[in-house]
Amino acid sequence: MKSKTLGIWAYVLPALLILGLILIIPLIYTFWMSLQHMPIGKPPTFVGIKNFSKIFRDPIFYKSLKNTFIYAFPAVVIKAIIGLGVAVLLNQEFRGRGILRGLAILPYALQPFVVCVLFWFVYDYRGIGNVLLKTLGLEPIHWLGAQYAMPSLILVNVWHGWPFLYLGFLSGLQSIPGELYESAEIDGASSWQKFFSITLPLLKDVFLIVCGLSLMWTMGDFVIPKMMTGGGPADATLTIPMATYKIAFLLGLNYPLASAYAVTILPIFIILIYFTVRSLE
Amino acid sequence: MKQRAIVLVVVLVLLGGIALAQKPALEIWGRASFAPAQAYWFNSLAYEWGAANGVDVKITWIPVADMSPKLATAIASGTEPDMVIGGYPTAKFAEAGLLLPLDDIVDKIGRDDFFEIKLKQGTIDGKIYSIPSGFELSWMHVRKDILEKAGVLELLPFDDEKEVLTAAEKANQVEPGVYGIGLPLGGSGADCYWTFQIYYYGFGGGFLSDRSVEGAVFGKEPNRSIAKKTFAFEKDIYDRGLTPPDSGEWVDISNNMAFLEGRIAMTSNPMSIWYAIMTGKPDLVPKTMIYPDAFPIDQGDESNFIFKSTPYPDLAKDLLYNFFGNKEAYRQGWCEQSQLYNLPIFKSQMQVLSENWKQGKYPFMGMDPYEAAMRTKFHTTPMAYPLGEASSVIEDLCWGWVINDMVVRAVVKGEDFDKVIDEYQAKLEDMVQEAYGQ
Repeated sequence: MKSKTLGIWAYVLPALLILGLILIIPLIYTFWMSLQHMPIGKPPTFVGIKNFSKIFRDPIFYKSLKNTFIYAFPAVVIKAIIGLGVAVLLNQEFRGRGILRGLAILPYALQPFVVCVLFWFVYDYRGIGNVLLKTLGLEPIHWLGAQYAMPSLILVNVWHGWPFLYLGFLSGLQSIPGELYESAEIDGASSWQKFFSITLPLLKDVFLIVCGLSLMWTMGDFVIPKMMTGGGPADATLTIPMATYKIAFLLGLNYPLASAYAVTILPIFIILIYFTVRSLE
Repeated sequence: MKQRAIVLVVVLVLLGGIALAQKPALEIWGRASFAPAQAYWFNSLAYEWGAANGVDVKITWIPVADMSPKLATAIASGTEPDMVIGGYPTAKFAEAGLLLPLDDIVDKIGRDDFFEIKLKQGTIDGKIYSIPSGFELSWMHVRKDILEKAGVLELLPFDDEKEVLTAAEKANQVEPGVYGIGLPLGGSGADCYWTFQIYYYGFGGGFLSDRSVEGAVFGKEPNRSIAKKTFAFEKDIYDRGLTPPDSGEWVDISNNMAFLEGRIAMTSNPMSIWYAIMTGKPDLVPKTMIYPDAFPIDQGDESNFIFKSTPYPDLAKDLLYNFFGNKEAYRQGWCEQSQLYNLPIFKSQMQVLSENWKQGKYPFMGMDPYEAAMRTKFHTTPMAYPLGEASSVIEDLCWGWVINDMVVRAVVKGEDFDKVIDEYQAKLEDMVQEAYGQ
């Protein structure tokens, strides 16, 4: 028994070592760095929680935290609705389903920076976005202006990210036994009743996992805010990752403060990870 | 025993030989500009110099946007290169004591031959820590045909903001769909902050009078009134639709594109628009002229510097001297090959261009380049006014998009000017406190 346990650990150990190297050590280093003061080119000196107290006094931190939630939560909700809808549709038997299933994951197959470049053209004042609005009889808008920058970024994130949720939901739907639906039909259940009484409850675990992962990734998304608006205009799309980058590389090159930003938001991610992992059990 | 001793001696001699044969190596990072010919010229210069001096030269060209993050991380991890070509930030590194003073190289090249503004941008507390690669003043790119049709061609070159406004008003929609001027006001592009600086500095405004909180003067008179005047000038153009409606969200490339697409009659820019016209839009060549701005600002912040940590300071300085020492070669290899996007930093070489201009070699230039350079009284980043030297605070104001945010709020969103100025004065004071601790 003891040798079996040792054998299992021998298999797991390399993965643990790699994990320690690329995750645990940087995490500890980031936490250590957040407690330092390190002017560029100078060795770090311990300053305790000074960086954290600075963050909590800084309105920009609260703005970027708020922006992170405004960016992530609606994006995940919309991605989940689209992903679930498309998954339910493409779970039906019909001709050409395979092609549509393949096409549906195309946006996700594109690299985020490619998606951003595509949307530069969509959001140009004379681009497809405003052409579409004009066709609908609406006035053109400044997609990346202060007023609409955040919704525009959410749209990019949704466009790129919904297929991930769709894939999760589709695999979840495929694991629901068909007999359940057949029995419900015999009992005279309508489509909506089947959806709310069978599909949704049985998708709960998948739902928690994919939404949890998507929420974490969206909150940590850097590429879209960086490439579309750089956090602007006037901090309208300044999310925590963007603010951290700005502090580390643009304003003051202040690594300890940037690390403190990362550490401050860590509990939110830990809670999300906890719920995601729990739903896996 | 004897055999072992002989083997040991042979091994030691071989090791010693390898050590002696190892060349000194210079690690150089360069900022890749959009004119690749500059990089080719520097590569050949540096490799030839390396071969002649027995130095192993390694050059890595880095995209513009990656230069600052890459340098910052390298410094934090102690892996910075020996020398940087066309890099930034300079003031931040110099103030942190990371750079070698270059006064001796400047003297060797000939201090008097430098345009003063080009030396000032690398000066901290009287010492020079970086030598800029080129002079890059802002030119008003104008569509001659449209301004002629509007009857304002004779106003060029503009002497003040009133002439700019008059030309923009009259040229606006003279051709349907063509706006009078392209004014970059977007929050995420360098063009926004330096356009603000053109008028703010041109009207006599400044941010820092010395390296102290007391010296943060943006919100103090007369700068407050000057800032309000600048906001009002830009807002007037924006509100009256003299600039395209999307200019409130423009990034760096946007005014270039608007000009190339024929949507605007004029716009301020370094010569990158002219470079694009020359290399890819020949139909615009006869219709385009460039004149220095009403208050031209130098944007040639790309600078050359040497880190103190280099084990070979003399070699690095010698290579830097070679970059500029042969001024003729520098003018031809670095400046002329960039289609004059970078003008020379030396008066003597600008005189050569001036002679060329007089002989009709640059028909697109509305003014003698020497005269244009002499008209240029301000530099964008990292120069602090009225201090008259470089400051890391200005680097943060510009590259952290702080000025941009301010312009977006006051001009595009239309917030109360005084309220915006108060907030940014407080922000400036915080930044000064952070940088200089006083």
